[in-house]
Amino acid sequence: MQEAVGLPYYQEDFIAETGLDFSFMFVIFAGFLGYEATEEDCAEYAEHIGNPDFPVFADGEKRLHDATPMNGESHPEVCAIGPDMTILECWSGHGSVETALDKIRETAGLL
Amino acid sequence: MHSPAIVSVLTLLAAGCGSDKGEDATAACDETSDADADGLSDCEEEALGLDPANDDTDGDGLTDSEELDCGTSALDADDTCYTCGWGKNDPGNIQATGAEVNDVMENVALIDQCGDRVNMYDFAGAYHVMYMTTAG
Repeated sequence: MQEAVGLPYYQEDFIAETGLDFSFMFVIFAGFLGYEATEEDCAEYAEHIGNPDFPVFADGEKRLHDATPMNGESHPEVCAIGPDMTILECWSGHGSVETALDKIRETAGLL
Repeated sequence: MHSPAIVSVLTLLAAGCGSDKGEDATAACDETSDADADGLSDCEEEALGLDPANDDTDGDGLTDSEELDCGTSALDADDTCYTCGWGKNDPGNIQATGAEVNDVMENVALIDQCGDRVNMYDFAGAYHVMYMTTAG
């Protein structure tokens, strides 16, 4: 959770640096009580990360595990997605966000 | 304030209004008038097939201008904006190819914090980092 709290600031800095159209999106599998995430969990999560306007989605059925290379074995899981919805790359574990942002820089020809 | 893409469309449409080529079809449109005060000129509304005298042509509770801003049809009451304000940016030609790196992902629909079921393809057109975790 602590890492996610800082991401809105990462977003602002990344856009300012690269000029790219970019945003984070959050997907939560389990809610605050450990059950399948709900709309209410998403709203609460958005408040926790400090920006209620950030897109937060509930995926209690873990459909994104079928739609990406991720498998839920460790958290968080991070995927960089291109403008045409191509999966650029995915990683597991804390600290993956910087790697994902570098992948976007590389794909956009900025590295 | 309309998005740049919408402004471009409106500019092109407005440019056609009153031109020699479209004179007959748009003779009644008035670029300076906005009879229904929805932010679109009568000329723009006519060019888009909207009702210049009705700020909500399809009667879905959203003004014609709001619908243009969020990328929905102002002529289809079933096509409404997402409550949280996400744009509907699916270009309509994305084809899923798989679930591995370098594949185009499936158009998964998930519930957002406003309770809407949102298609991931509506986030097309921009780079994203998808951060997947648990809330607790």
